[in-house]
Amino acid sequence: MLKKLRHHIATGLQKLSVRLERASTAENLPRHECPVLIFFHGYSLAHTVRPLVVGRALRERGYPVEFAGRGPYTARIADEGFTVYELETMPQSRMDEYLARSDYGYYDAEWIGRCVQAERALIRRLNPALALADMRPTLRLTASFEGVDIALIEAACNQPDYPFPIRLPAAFSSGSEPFDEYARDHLATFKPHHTLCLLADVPQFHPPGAESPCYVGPLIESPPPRPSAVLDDWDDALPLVYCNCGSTGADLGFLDEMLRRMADKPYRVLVTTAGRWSGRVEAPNIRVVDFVPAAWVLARAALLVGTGGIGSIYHALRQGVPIIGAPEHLDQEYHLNRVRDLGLGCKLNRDAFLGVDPLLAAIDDLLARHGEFAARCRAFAAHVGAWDGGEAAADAIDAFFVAQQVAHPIEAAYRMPEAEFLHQLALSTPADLGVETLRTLLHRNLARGLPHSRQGSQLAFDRADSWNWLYDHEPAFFESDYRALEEKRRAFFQPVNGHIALLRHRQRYRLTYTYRFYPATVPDDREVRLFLPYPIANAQQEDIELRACAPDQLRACFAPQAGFFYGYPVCVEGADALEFSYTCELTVHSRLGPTPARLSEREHRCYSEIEPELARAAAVKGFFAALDWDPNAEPLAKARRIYAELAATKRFKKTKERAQDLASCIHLVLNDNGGHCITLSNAFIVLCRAQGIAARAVTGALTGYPAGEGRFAMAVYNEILFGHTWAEVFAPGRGWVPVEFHGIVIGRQAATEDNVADEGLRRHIADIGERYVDFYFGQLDCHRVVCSNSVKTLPQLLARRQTATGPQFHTPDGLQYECRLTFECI
Amino acid sequence: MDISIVIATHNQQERLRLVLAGLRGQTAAGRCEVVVVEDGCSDGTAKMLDAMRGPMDLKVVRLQPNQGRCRARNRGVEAASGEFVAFLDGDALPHPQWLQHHQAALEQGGRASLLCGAEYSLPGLEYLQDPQSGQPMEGETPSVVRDFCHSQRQDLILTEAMVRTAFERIEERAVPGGYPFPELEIMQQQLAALFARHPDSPIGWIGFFPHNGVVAKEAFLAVGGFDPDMAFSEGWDLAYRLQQHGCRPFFVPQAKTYHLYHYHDFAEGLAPQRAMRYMERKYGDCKLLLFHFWYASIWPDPFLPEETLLGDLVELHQAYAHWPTSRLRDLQTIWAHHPTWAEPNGG
Repeated sequence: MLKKLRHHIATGLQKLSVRLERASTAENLPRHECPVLIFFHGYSLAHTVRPLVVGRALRERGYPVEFAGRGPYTARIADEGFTVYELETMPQSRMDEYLARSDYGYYDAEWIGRCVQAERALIRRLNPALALADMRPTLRLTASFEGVDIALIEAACNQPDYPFPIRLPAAFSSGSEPFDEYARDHLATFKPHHTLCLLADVPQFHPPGAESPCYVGPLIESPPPRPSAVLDDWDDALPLVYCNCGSTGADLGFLDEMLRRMADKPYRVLVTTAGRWSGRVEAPNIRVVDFVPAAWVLARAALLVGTGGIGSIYHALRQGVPIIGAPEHLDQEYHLNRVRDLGLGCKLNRDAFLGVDPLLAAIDDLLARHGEFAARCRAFAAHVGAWDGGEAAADAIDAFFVAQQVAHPIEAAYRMPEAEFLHQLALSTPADLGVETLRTLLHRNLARGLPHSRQGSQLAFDRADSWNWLYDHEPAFFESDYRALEEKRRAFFQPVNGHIALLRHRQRYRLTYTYRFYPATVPDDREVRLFLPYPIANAQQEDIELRACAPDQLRACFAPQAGFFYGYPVCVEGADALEFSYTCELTVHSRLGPTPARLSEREHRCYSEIEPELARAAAVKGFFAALDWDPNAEPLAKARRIYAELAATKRFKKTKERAQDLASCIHLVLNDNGGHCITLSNAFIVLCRAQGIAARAVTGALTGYPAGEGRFAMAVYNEILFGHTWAEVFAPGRGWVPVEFHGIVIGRQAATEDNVADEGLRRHIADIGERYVDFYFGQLDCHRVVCSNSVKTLPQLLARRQTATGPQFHTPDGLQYECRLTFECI
Repeated sequence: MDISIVIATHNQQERLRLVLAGLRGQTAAGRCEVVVVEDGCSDGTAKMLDAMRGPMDLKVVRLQPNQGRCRARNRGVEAASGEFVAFLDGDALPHPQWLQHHQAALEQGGRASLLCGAEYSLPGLEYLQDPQSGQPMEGETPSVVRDFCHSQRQDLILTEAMVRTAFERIEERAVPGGYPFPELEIMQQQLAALFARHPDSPIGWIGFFPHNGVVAKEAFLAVGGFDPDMAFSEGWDLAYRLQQHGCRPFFVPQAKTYHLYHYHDFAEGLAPQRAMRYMERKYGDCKLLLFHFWYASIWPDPFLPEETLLGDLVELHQAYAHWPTSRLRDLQTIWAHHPTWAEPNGG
């Protein structure tokens, strides 16, 4: 008992501490400047009350709160003094009609369009800082159109990897397809926004899936509820069974027979129908009303009978009342599965209501064993009672706005402490920019907008955004890089008659690749394997000879046709740093060797097909609609026009895409002002394939910066070196034609008003960039090597860890490594 | 043509009922013995089979406890009296002309034939309705699924009456491949292309599946039947030995069976690779390694470099038939160091 009390006090203090911390963090939050627009579904009591509970808490804290929706329960919100905007809303009758046949596809393109248009119009008019919604699935689309931040009240059982899934037939539709189609057909430009998910659940009831969601607890009316006279003058010697028929759902015709059969039972039955039943009942042990506050009646009831709506369930569990439920909808299946599995009541088949007998038997059984069920329910009530849903949701929204106030919020995956960021910069920039010079550059730009964050005296930078900022704003940084690369190009190119021409078409290199990693960043209980990229023989490079490798045992894993030292096992114990390297020689040609003039049927399919959804995407259709071109031109001419358009409108930048697949890249590039070699090449490939033109990616490494006579070198930290990507497009009769976006890296788009101080250099960049853009469609240079495309999917280091489903290989989160590549002309 | 149909089954009473209804409706001429090996069933299959003995030439072999499908099929073949054995599964519904097409292929191919039929799948049968009444079965069918099945009954109900009299409605719902996954449809297309271009391919055995295949009983017994140590892909192992023994694989695309779809735990997704690895060691055939580099072109393996992949079964055939073993060296290196398949800390 004492232990329990201690635990209770400790838990309480912990919660108080969290609340105080949040309160102090949010203390300076200008809530009055953060209007919140709340969308509700006024046809359902639960989906009206849940947003109302959040709205009250937000208003209490000083947020301007307004509501939008439609339905018979709208007055509940308006009566509390909130402004309510009438809004197009899916009528309940349509939803009930579909749900009666377990069809969740009640939103079709027309209804999605109607709701999205209405939401967009209201959001443009009111310009809220946050749009919050319950049961408003179109709001995710609207947010993408308007770029408004959203908060969604959701159920834990609908989250990915929910641990107690229901196996549904593959043909069972969740109704999500029309939303995907609508986005594809209409969403030409995705506007970035944040999404906050508020799970109106208790984790002990519906546990989380793989992600760490934000639980806010049940969003139900808090006690003390309004009293009711419905139980007056009713002998309370008999136990009370509260039968809640819900405010929506199937017809209540079954009630006639059910109540007739209950008339002589040794318990009282109070039925709420939300005005959906007009029958009469004479039995003294039965009363039927439209509505009674659930929290109030359940404090007096022995049993809840219903369809398993989450509101009723949490009301019952908060009062420690056992439940009998027969689900009508999928969410209710989930809820009642948990009621059954946790021993908090009984789940019946939906037909039980219609057949009556199973329901009556279940009531008799549960009342007979009421003690054991009630004991479990009372114990569970502590979990539910620990939450104040409205306050928890308001806390989460406070925290959300606080996070938005940080000048440069840096995602954990991109955060680098100053020393590490400097190390990265020093490795990957020309030698004239040493660590101290770079440190000076960083510090002098902190006040000028260089993305960074500060914790005490510790600075941190964003490995992508901070780099982009320096490249775009800091002349010393940009010009150093530009001039070094210009020096390299002089070794391979010369201007001829206003164009660029190659000085040489063939070059033999001695290439040395070094991979170094720090075992301290790999937990030592893991087996580690290395996969080092190696140049592959192809139409552009030949006579590849391995000269040396260190350690020599690497040879046991040498698979040159595959383009790897593959899976070399490493012992990670006992060293600060481990280094692996190889030296090889190869000949690189600027021109592709003979390639087939025709593709096999399989090759054509492989290189021409994209997902149909991608070809029909509004962003892709919009690109072509805006293009001034001859759609009937030859494939190569069309490909060149696509290339020219991208080269003219996009610029080089580091991006943060989580995936580098074709779909992610095309959306990223078309919705942004640029990308890097992989995203631009993949976007080009998608656009070509959308026109039926075969196109593919090629992967390799460029020679890097000059490092002495006939030598070039490059190094990177926590990045791959063999990841440079260009494209090839297939021209029937001619074969594969190279397409390289390097021209835009060094063209006029690269120079900004800030990053080029030297006027002469600015003019030079504008002039020379166009020539390279022109050159790199159809021609290539010989200052690169080609390796397997798989270097982008097969990490250089994989560690083995034991998981619940067995051993898995993965890249350790904190892995730190460096890659160096030197080219020596021989 | 004297053919015995061998079915091994384990607790699939309702699906087996449909399969047997499908066998009663076969258009093939001549005697047709059905041998059902009831492998440790506890769901009433025995009672159902007892009631079926009258209407068909049915022989039942009872095994207790459950022996596994390889042993069960071997016992079934031992009990079969036919010159040929045709394999079905308890959830593989045969087309009415299934046996007729196999018979025709045997007449053409002769005693050494190893017939590989075409697999289709009937999706949406995860919660099978009662094959006799078409009503939801008792048990753990969620209410929403019961409603769904009721509202979609035109597409989801499968009854004995339909098997007997309206098979065309069943065919309309079928998708190519043993499961309703696009990868299996691709595999089926590749099999058709392989047999069309290389009818004598040394990898023809890869088209054999033990729920739709026919072979001479004598050849089956001569190679020792199914290997009971194999839990999955046992058909490939059997067919490999049969082809080595002199049997010639034929693809019979008209001989269709329809997998009565059910939930399957695909956590054991590496089972085909495991089976092929077992076969590599068992037969000392190093070229079986190539299988993995073909399989990964259908079910991607993130650890395999794309340069090593064999794009389809025709490419696998070319490599298996024509590559010198020296050309396997890189692939052997990769497989020996593959994160999933390499021995821990080995290589």
